[in-house]
Amino acid sequence: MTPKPVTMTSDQSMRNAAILMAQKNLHRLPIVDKGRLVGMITSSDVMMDMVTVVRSLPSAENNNHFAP
Amino acid sequence: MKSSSLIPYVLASLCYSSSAFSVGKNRVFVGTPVHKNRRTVRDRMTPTSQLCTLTASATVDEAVHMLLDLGVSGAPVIDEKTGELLGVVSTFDFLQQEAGDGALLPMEGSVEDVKAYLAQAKKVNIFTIID
Repeated sequence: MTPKPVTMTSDQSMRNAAILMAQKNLHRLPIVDKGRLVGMITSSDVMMDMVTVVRSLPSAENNNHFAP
Repeated sequence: MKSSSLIPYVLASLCYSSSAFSVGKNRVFVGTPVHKNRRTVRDRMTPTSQLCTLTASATVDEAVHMLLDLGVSGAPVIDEKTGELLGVVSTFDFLQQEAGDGALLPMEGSVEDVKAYLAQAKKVNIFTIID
């Protein structure tokens, strides 16, 4: 296993999580509050979050592939 | 830094920045409405209750089978009592271990050494003997 992995607290924004994961080339980010593991963020969670942002943009001719 | 490794970073800053977006040919959209209610990691994470975790006492065999059964590529390792995060295991760790076991093969040695290795090795993929 990887001891002492890079972690984040649950009050951080998804933006910070995405930037940290991109900078450190991580795919899996354990979320730790006060020393306890409370959850996990993976690169696909970040991707799904980005999709919600992209979907919230006004529709244009060229981004129809994001439609459900 | 390779240019390809910049892609996720550029994507992240594009999706999360509050600067102007240009969409389409003549339309410009400033800011993102989603960005106003700041989404935290808590909203998106898989909580521990839904997470498959391992304890430090689990064997490699148990860990591998858990990952295979659940179809996941990694799991956090926690302390049974306190719930403290000790580390993370991923399929990569097990691959690395396999590679490490393979490296036990003597790179130089007599035919007898090779025979002894083959006798205790479970599986040999490639074998080259050069005289």
